[in-house]
Amino acid sequence: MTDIRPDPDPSGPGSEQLREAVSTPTTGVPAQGSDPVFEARGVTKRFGGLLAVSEVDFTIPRGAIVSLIGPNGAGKTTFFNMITGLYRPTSGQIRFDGRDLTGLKPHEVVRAGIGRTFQNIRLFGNMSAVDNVLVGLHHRLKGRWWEAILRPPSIVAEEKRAFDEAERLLAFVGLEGKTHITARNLAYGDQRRLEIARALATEPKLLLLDEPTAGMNPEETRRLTDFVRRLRSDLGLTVLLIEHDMQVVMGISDRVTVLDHGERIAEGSPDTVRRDARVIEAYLGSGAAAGVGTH
Amino acid sequence: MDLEQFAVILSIGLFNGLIVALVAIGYTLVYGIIELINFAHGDVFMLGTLLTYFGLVAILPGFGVEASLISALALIPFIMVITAVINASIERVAYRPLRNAPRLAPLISAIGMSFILQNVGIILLGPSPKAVPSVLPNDPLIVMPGGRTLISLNEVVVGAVTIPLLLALAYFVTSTRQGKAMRATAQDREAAGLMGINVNRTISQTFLIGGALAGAAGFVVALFLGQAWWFFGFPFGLLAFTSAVLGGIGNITGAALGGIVLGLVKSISDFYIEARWTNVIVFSILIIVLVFRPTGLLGAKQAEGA
Repeated sequence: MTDIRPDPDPSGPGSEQLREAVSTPTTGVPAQGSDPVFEARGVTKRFGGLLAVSEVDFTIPRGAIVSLIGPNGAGKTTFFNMITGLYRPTSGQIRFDGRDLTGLKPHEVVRAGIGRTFQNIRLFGNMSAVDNVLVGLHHRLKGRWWEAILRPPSIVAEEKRAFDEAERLLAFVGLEGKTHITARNLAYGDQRRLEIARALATEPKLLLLDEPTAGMNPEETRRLTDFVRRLRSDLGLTVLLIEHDMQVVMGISDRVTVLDHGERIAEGSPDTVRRDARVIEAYLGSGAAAGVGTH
Repeated sequence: MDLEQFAVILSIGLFNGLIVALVAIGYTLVYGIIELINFAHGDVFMLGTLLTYFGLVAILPGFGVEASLISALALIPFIMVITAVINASIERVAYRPLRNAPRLAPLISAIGMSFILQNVGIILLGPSPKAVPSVLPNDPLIVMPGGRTLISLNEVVVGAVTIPLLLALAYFVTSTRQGKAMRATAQDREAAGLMGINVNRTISQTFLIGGALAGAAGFVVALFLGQAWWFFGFPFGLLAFTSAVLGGIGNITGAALGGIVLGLVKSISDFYIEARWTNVIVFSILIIVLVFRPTGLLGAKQAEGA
């Protein structure tokens, strides 16, 4: 697998996002803390009698890499689905970049600036790699359907720009030369990269990655971890991860939030969370906390 | 065997098949995107024949225009727009509210819409078929050495309407941004929404396209058969639906191919066996194909559940 590297020609036409990112690199960790880009307050989701997520407060500082962890069934995915508009919270409020997102449809959430990938890869398998990315670009293009058929020069130019940007994004995630390969025929790791390229095409400010290292070997995991850091340093993105690999979580996150049985049981730096008695109990069962927590 | 006769039969089958293909694509587009057999689709096609009839006997004379081939062709865009809007409205009213209901619910409401449209047809056209003014010249265009007509002018009109539409559709779906959004939504509606695609709008567009193609097919049939009838939706709809399944439901190329194959089978069976056996033959072929290739001729992967 090739290394993920930044666009070699930032001065070319096309991606404003990438050009901007490369020409004004925000090296290191951007300022954080006082400026939450994302804020969930008292978010609750009930399915009938089941309380899947209960009164969760959650903030993400701008430019941070934040992880959401918890045992299976803790409500992480439900929480993700509420952020992205698949579920409407039973109560509570979700704010992003100064806007209330509560109750918006998925495509409206995307347009507000939140992109995501999936735990079990959900590419459009029958479409080529570049078409998958173009689907992500869809909402940023303006051409109407009759223009698409009649092909005035404006639409030809727009399609060209979109295609160039899609290729640029493919190169950014390390898929150069695989433009026209049907998505389902790509190698597993490449499919994960393509999902990220497709999510980046939606021009997110906040990127949600749902278990991005699932099924990866240690080497691939290491590359991906580096890549997530580059998403922040090169593109200035804020990143929220759901992740099971604790090494990844502890190595990459500025902050970690732990859910268990739908409730937030801990939040803080990786070190704080690692030592939290309730977290250890949630992961290892009651009784373990006393023994392990003192390390 | 009389080869010239066989050539004529193939030519008839091909042109009939092109018409069936236009209707079949409407079934397959809708199934592809929301996994619903739109039973009302055949009746939207019937409305195309109805609109052609009224266009030729009422609207054109109302504007003082004589019904001719040229003035009839001018009706096509209007008919397509009307059937497109009707089809999209059906989705809005009868299917969208049931999007997350058990699958049987929209199926029943589709059957209900079919009955409603048929009754609209009865009210407007009356119970018996209405003769559509004959504006299609039947002049032979290609005559074979033995004296039989291989292709006549009316068949050329059929081809001139259907083939460009099929090509435009293929281009639209594969190459335009809206077409890509349709394919993405068909493959994974939820993921498409999460990538910024307005799923409801994309589904409406799909119904608009299916309705427009059905309207064009209705126009062609009304002129070709010289009739408009409230019951047309059933036989044509059934044949078109069968074509869509034969080609692999959800697969657009498959629907077009299935339509042409069944058009050919139908005309061969009509002539060499007997017209009343044609449905038996058509459905036997369907069953045999499905036994060996359950996903149809072009074997699209079964659409994933929503």
